[in-house]
Amino acid sequence: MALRHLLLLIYLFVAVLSLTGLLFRDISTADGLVLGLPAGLAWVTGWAALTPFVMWAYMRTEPEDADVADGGGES
Amino acid sequence: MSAEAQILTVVGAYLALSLFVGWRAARSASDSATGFVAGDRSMGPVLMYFVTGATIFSAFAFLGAPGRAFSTGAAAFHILAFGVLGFLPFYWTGPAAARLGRRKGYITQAELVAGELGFRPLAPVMAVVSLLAFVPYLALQMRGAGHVLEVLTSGAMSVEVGAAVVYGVVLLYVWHSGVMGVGWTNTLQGLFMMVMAWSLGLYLPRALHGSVGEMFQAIDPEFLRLPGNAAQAGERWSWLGYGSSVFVMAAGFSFWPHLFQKAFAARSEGVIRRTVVLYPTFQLFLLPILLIGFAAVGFEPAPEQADQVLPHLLLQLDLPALLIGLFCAGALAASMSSGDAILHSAASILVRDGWIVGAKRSLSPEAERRAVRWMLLPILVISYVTAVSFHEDLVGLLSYAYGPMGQLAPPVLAALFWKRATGIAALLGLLLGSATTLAWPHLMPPSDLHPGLPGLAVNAAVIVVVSLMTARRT
Repeated sequence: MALRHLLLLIYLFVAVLSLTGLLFRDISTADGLVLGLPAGLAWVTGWAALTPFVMWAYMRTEPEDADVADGGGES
Repeated sequence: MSAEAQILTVVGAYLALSLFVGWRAARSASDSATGFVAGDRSMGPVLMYFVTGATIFSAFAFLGAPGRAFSTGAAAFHILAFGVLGFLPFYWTGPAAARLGRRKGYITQAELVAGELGFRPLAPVMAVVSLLAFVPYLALQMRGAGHVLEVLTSGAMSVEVGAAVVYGVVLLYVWHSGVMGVGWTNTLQGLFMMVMAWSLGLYLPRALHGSVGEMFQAIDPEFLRLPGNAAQAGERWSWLGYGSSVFVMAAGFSFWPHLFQKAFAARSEGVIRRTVVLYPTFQLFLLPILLIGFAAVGFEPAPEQADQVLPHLLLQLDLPALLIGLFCAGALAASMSSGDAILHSAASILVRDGWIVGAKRSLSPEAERRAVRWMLLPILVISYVTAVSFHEDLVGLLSYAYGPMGQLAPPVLAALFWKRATGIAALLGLLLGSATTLAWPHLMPPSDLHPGLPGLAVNAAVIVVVSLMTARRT
């Protein structure tokens, strides 16, 4: 598996676990405000802000001749 | 001029502008069915960004989300959480579907799945599942529009009349211009509601509490701590409920047929990928929406219904009628930008998947376009009747709609990416997954687990096992 796929997979895996509350629960339920927002809201907003950059980096490293999977088969 | 008259004037001007933009959009597509349903596969990056973003942000976002923040606190964060993840699968499924669409002429999701798996009966079944979700979802948009007009005109315009007027305008531009009407009005509506959401989201906490930080400091920290409160008053939500809800709603997000169908309208695969990359920036628009709901916590008098938080605050703050009218138009934009896409998609699914693929009837491109237009009417009427006779809160209605939608993900993924998948396996997976989702709350002990999660597990397992046991039709 290419490194770019592996890195994205790791990012998505951590994101899913974090946003469903299975990982880093202490951070998302911390007391007090972070940048004026409750910790849980700041946590979720942070993922929303970070994800476009990660996806942009993934897209930028796409090989020129990259092909997406083309259908499950012929009918 | 009375305040109600000023508000209605602004709303009228907004509706006229939407109609003008939507009507003119007909020039940018051909008269064929592909032109009406898929915009001749010509949508560029700006149109795609707004059509996917604004389609998703609906009356639910403008009214239901502040209501959820107001009534359940941190539980409302899950709306932002599932949106962060939900569109990402489209980075891979969108270009794959677009390529097959160009090569084989597909313009709907079910047509693609049935065609790729060589199993026609899938198309009408998927169409039925889609329509079962579309009707409550469209009804939700209508009721949201009617709700806003009723509250902000102090009852001068009822929910029924308001919904009929707004969706009369939607019918006109969708009838005339098809998907390009949806696309260009969504661009206008997307820009408009983003401006309104950020203006309100920053203004209301400041006007009522001094600042966003002071607003949160005045609220009970437990109310703001994940996973927040359950929909039932006084109870905490569990992490199981929160996590499974985020997962199921994210899994179904990009497989909503009206959204997925936009893959067939994109100019290129690169346009689709760039749209997905930029999409979470649209998601950030939910942040000010949630702030509006929190601004109302502790406010006296409290709104009678959580969904009325936004219009209630606007009226209580004694703002100029012109400003209230603009905010009202912003909420209508949210409702219309989703409602028009659903209406258009539902009609095209009925004709293409139900009649042409399912019943094996052939139609000329002109006859197909005409049939899609006429199908707009019964869908609109059924949704309208549902809207005026159903009295669940908006989020409840949306959750119902998301149940069957998540079940479309496994068959679509199998059709696109697994050469061993078979049509009968996809059909059985879809049916048993949907049945599990619907039966779970009635057969199992009470739990916060989202019933869509066991439904998805059954669906995926059935597709894998049955595919390995059967051969694909050629």
